[in-house]
Amino acid sequence: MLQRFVEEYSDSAFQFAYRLCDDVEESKELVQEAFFRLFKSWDRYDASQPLEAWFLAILRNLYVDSVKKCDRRNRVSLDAPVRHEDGEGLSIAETMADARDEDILEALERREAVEQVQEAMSSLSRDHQAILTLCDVEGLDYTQIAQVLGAPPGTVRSRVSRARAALKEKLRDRTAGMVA
Amino acid sequence: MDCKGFEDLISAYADGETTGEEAQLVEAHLKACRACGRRLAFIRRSKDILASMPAPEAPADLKAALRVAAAQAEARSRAEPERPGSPSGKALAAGALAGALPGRAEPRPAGPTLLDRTSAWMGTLSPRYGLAFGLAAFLLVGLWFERRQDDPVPIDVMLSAHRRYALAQPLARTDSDPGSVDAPADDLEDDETDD
Ligand SMILES: [Zn+2]
Repeated sequence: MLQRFVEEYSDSAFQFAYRLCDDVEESKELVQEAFFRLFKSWDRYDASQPLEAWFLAILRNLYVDSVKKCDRRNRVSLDAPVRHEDGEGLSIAETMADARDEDILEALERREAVEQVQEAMSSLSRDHQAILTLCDVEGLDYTQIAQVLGAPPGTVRSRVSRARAALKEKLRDRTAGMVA
Repeated sequence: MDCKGFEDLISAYADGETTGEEAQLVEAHLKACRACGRRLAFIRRSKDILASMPAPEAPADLKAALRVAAAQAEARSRAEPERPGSPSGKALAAGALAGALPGRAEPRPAGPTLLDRTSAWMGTLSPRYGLAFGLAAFLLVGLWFERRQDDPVPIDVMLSAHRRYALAQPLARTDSDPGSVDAPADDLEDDETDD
């Protein structure tokens, strides 16, 4: 059962850790510790629960530990607002920006879109990467995401939305470079 | 509600995380608003891309360490009533990880649980009491007491623990139990007399 768990979830766990730490060695350490803790409490495993429940526990540990242990020297710390600083309706800048959504969409249809998104993703803050990884890469639902982040379920919706806005902003920068 | 008010809703809509009422609201707005249509298209497209993004595999040495630790933890839980003095699987697993991860694993010292102590005590008795069933029941009671102390344990956890012990009993006793069917009698040392 544990062996199967390792085969099934170690890649995903590593990926999540790597998103959080941006460093292979630190990610390895985080993942080892998280799995180690799970193995220790394995006799409490309730066989009627899906293994996924334990995977969520792993993700939770990775998230908490990464905040304490990974120092992302080159990263901007955030959840700072990405835009809307003016805060009232659609600014001129945003109206223009929205017009260029077509450029972004078009860029995403191209072959190199995957790399574009991957790079944009890597340049996001830890929290934005974490939430998009959980939501779009791992495919967790909002309740599960709240569990992993230790956040009130009601806040997940806006956090996902903000992370997406940030991703779009990064892609906009790239697309602007390509289109100009 | 203006477009800005729809931002979170559209994002949640793309994730299938809206109520029926909210979904209707979004759909009505999308019919009238191209900007929000593009917003939704962007979210859907980026979701697709992120979902299909090639995932970095866990490095081989990490996987190897996890496999070893998993195997040892499983062996430990299969052979739970251990002979006193033999290194526990728990310690082995801890060692494997600590070795792979110098100075970082910090395994918390797991004090001997009631269960550990009980099985250690049982190990000091003659190995031929042959009351495997009674022992299992006894351990189960011990387990029940131990578990009761920290958090409520669902019955299925107790049952699966019971099954583990039941499975472990004949294996643990093969070398000394004359009644064991699996051990060929000829190969056993003859210094033990059957009752
Ligand atoms: Zn709109």
